[in-house]
Amino acid sequence: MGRIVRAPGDFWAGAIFAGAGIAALLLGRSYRLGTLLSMGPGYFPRMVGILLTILGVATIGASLRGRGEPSEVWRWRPIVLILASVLLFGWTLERFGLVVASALLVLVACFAERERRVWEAIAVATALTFIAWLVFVKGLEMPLLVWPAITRAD
Amino acid sequence: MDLLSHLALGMQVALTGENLLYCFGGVALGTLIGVLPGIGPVATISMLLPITFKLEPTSSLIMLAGIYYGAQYGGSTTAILVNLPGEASSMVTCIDGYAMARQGRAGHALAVAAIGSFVAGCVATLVLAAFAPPLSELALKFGAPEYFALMVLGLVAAVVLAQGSVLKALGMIVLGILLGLVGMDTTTGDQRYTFGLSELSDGLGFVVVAMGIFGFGPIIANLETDGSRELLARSIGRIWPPREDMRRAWGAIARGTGVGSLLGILPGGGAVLGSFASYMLEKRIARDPSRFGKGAIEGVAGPESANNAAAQTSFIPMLTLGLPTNPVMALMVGAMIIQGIQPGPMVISEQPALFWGMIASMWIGNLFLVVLNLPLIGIWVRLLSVNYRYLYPAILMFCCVGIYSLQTSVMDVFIAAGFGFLGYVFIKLRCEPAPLLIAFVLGPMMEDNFRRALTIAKGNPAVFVTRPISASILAMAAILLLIVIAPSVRRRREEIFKEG
Repeated sequence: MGRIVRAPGDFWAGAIFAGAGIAALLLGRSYRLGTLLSMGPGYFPRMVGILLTILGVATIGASLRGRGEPSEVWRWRPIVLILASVLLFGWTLERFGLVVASALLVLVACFAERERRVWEAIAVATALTFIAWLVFVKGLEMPLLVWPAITRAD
Repeated sequence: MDLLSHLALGMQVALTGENLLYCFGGVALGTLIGVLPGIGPVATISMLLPITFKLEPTSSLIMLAGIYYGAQYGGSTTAILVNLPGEASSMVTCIDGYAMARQGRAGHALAVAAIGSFVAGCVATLVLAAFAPPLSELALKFGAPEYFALMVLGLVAAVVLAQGSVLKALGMIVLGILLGLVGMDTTTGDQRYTFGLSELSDGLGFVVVAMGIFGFGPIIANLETDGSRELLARSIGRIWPPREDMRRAWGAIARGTGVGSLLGILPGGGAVLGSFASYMLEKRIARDPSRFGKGAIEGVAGPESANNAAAQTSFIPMLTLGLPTNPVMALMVGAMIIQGIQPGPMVISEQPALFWGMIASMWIGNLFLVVLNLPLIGIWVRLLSVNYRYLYPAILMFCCVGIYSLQTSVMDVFIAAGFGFLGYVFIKLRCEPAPLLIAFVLGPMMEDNFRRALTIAKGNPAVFVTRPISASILAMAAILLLIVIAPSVRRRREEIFKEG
């Protein structure tokens, strides 16, 4: 494939566009089209979907001819750990409260960087959790669950 | 005369103790995030939106605006001292600013950047005050076809001004429109692309998408490269540049201000483009272009004036037409809607105190910024030694709590994580995300105006070309698109972006 595709970045960008366009057309195939005078919910999405598919195919086509940068190296460690830390935050926030959620978020996110010592991550997590509590709970008085629901005082 | 009385009203509003405080807070925060690479105004304003619920509308807009133009000042400090753009709009400042710092002229570069930004800020404030009222009166005559045409023009301009391949920029825009369609159809009430999730029936939140793409995405990308950076100039040297340098700089400041003010108004324009264009212009007209890259003071003075001017004039289309031309303006639209103000031509006549107060605050803010960035420059320089490894967990934490508290929705946090991945993919594939975000905001407005235009015209699609204003706007869009596809222009455009 490396030899056929001259610009892998453009190729994959085109694949995303075409994929999204086709998905939009498939998911939206049951939406009522209506007429030009009174358009249904499906009219505009259909137009957009067709246009996006065409652009995607065109981008793929261009990537086979033109010159482009070689594909970039993907490093999975930051991708996985950063996204995991955010998902973990979302999953724990309403169950265990802000303190647990932000401590876990920071702790996991810290290890997205390779040379991170454990004690350092714990220190950063403690400090940032305290700041989060200070800013959002004390300062801005946001209605957040702070501690796990069982021990909540109010 | 009218202008003066309006500005006087604005000053009255902006000079109240509370508004002064928020203006100062905004520009100080703007400078801070401008200095720090890895966090920009989009992510910062997104994080602060939940807080603005509690503020007075005028105060909150004054503060948010301050963050945007304040970041233009701060960005130059990092560019000059560390050779890293603190903000994307300071990318070209790195070239000659860092060269000046290596010659021991860091102080001169910082001073000229701050002076240029101040001059540009003052002029741009006047441009905004002079042009916004007539434009908004014109806009009151616009109907649905004209608005649709304007949005098409805006999106085409965003393509022209985006870096890299035209096809990819077009694709990003159409993808953005599609993402904007998620949720309930406002005309018929049908659910579209919601996958049965009730959280999606109001559509994807702009802040959620913006924080994912501009907050999480860059963090992941930044962690791939090692974060080591060397602070070049611990001591900045003398601040005030020698007379010879200043003489060269004034011309560059004036030209940069002009270029920036103009490009800021154009749809799709903004601070980044203004600085690029100004650098090209300076190099083009210089008697000895070879000085550029080796510490030419014009290469700092021009772009730094241009980015500040453009940051301020980009408020014009947002305030007069209700159309955002860059992601920051899209956030400002969001901030106004949170406060119950519908951006558009009515704002000036219905909310004169807010409108003129915000404009006057920009002048005051620029005054604050000069003080913050010249006598107090030492503080920001020290901040540069804050390591990214401590910074990114903090950004992540503030983003997450911010996203959740906007609608008290955990689902939004998950969606933002998804867009974070997408944002990273876009960086890797060199797809510029700003056009996608503008299109995301404009998408639903486009659909709405498209429908209304055709209903008014009894289903005749010719309505877009038979009405003169709409036809001429669409013709402009078509010409722009044809020009950018033309091979010679395409090559030239690639060159311009390569220079950076």
